[in-house]
Amino acid sequence: MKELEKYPETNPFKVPEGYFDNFERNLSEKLMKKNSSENGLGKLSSIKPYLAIAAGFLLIFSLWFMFLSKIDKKNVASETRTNSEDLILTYFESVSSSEMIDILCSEQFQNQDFAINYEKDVDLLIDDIDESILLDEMEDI
Amino acid sequence: MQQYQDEELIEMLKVNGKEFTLSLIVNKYKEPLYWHIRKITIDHDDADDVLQNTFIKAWKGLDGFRADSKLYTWLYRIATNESINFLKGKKKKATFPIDINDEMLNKLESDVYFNGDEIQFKLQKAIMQLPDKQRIVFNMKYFDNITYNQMSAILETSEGALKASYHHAVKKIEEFLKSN
Repeated sequence: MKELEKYPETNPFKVPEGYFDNFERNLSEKLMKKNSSENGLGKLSSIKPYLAIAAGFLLIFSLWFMFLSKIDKKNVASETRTNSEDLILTYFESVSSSEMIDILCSEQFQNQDFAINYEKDVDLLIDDIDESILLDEMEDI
Repeated sequence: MQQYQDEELIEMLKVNGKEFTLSLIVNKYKEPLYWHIRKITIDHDDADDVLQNTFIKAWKGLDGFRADSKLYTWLYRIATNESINFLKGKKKKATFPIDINDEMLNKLESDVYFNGDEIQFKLQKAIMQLPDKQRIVFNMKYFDNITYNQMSAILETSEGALKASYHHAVKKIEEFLKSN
């Protein structure tokens, strides 16, 4: 006799009472849960066009915001530039024409790279200078 | 509730839709599929989960179900695959794969839904030593008396390979029973 023949072929397991009677109910509950979660996704797909529109609006708003902030930066930059121009003009206004000629003719100024066009600048300044002052200066030289 | 033949159920599926037909399929197959799954997963709660998932898979697949495949074979295949995947998932989570068998045995020892005596517990212990597929083949043949032909359709394995698998399983179980 084979060893296995001593062992019964009967099912050794059992289930909780009423398990099979309640199985359909439990399964339908699980199916309903699954369905409702899938319907949740369904709802999401039904509002997809609106989401796309909203996303489009958001994108346009972001681009507009970025554009505005760039404009602001430019304005700040031009304001800064205007401020520096003002500062230079104020400086020039405070310096007398004779002082300006001295500066432009000075050795230190002429050795600077930016003084390449100083002759033109001097000509421009000369136009504004009172001729009598200019003559006096010329006499001193 | 009246139990219908598979051919009738397939016909109902075409006429009445899957909502109505599934309830009849569940009514017919819940018990045989449960016992098939329970012998693989051992624990009742695990078997319950796998059985529910089996019917949910069946529900999803009923639209594409073709009459050229037998309903019985198709459902058993889903149940077997779900059980194997369940065990694979358990093994993946475990630190050592061998822990799963020990864990299942420990559970079985204290399981209030295990009706067996010491001899039956010893046999389950021996079956647990087998690789998953060999265990399934052994259970199907030894406890459920499923023919090799039916088994071949369910497991998509040749009858020859199934016979060899069962022969190896019996040999290993006999050796285990003798030495323990």
